[in-house]
Amino acid sequence: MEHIDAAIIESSKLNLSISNLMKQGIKEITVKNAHSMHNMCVGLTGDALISITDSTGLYTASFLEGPKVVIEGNAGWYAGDDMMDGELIIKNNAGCNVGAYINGGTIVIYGSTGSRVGYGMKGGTILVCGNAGRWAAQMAMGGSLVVIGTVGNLIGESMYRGIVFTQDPDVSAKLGGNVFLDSITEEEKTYLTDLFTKYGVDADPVRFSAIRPALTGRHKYVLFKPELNKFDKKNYQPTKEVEV
Amino acid sequence: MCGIAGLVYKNTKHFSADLLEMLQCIQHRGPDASGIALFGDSEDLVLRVTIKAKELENQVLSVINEFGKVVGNCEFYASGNVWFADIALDVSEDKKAQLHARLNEIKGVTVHSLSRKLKIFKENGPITNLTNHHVVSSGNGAVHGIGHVRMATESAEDVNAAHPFSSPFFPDLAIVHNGQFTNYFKMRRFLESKGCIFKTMNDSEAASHLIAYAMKENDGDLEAALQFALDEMDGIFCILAATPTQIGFVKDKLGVKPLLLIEDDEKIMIGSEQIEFSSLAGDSFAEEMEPGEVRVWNI
Repeated sequence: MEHIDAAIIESSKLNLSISNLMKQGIKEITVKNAHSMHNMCVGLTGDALISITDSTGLYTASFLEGPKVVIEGNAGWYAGDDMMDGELIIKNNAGCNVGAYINGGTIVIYGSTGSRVGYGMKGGTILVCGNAGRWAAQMAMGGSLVVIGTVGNLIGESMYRGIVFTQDPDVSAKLGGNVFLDSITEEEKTYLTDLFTKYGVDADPVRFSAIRPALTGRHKYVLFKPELNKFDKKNYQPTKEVEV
Repeated sequence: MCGIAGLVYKNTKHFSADLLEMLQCIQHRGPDASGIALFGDSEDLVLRVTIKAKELENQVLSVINEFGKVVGNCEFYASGNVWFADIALDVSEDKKAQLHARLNEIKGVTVHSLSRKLKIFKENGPITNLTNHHVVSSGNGAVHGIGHVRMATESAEDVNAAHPFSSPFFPDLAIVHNGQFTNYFKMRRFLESKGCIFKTMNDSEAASHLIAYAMKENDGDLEAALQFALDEMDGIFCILAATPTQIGFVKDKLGVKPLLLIEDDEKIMIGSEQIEFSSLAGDSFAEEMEPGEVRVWNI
């Protein structure tokens, strides 16, 4: 295991130091004295466990591809932004826009988070053990967001794909546009059971509902439905070309 | 970017150091200037003003003599490229707004605050400049105030363009702002038609005049004035506004700019980032304000 003291290293050089250690084959790295430094662990690729002993600033572990990053304190805005793969574990609370646009990997927040968690997410899993703020999973294009506590207003607004799992009793009053509340399938129950077991979360999958985009075809698509059959080929008369 | 902070103590008295500490935690949001508005009690009307050239001193004093007189010490001290003064005046309360406007008419003179209960301190550069160059003190019994660290995006790096702003329309009001307005010139034309003199090109100055104008019109109803600002202003913004008896905020309808709140039995803390609260509230979860929200507290 290697230790890095973030107090004596420039922000711009921290990620390079971590990736250099990873290139040497070191699998466990601890970063001390982060003091809410921005852009920590951004763009790291490979296989390692990186532990940050206190709180981080903005964009922690964004573009992460492979490593497991554990933050013992809080994380600032946009943690795990555009993450591709790997794990981001936040032991305490997180700010806004956590997991925005993620493509893959898992983000676990043991505390609560602010607004727009999972904004535009395309894949991967985000597990919020506390409460989530407004506009969660807005315009999501894939992946799954699981919220154990309460959710904020307009959850799932304009989702294209993906799924939100919630057990908030008041969720039906907080749904965004173009989504609907549905029961969960047996496969989804198994998925939640595995997820809760893996991350040591005390929750019962049976109590969860799913928020799905109305676009999935299981319900009527409310925004736009092209009526292609209306077009009658037999009676179709192309516009005559004008002779010059 | 910019960062804002508001602090209300419900019991404790000495708080300016704590407000400065909150701002210190968000120094990274604005290195270009900083400022705080403190509300306390003073027997005299206190003028905080800057002049661009020492020669303007006499002009300022002659305007003051038209409305009343200077009580005690009147010394201008240099800081950066301007001279500051903190002058106690004997001027009746009803002439205050008029004196504020009259001083702002002089080119090169900018009133920062003119009030019995409000003092505004601002300085270029980081917060250490503010505390090194000025004696930041609010008079007696101060329990609330607002502060700002500025990242100059749309207008000049100038001490007069730093926040907080006050306005002759309602001299007891101070505002700080994080954001941008997209209808600045429209607001400015409206305000100038009401007799407002702009001292900077900072869009936040327009916001201060607009809110103060609304308060003048509605007999000091801060909540209604902030609601008016929400309806009239375009853009992305969070504004903290305070008077000797109230503190409140307005947040844009798009919910772009950050505003967080922690309220307990001891205090109310409002700020741009969670980290601001860490020195006073430890590691507690701050509530995020809703888009288009207006909230006002009575003190």
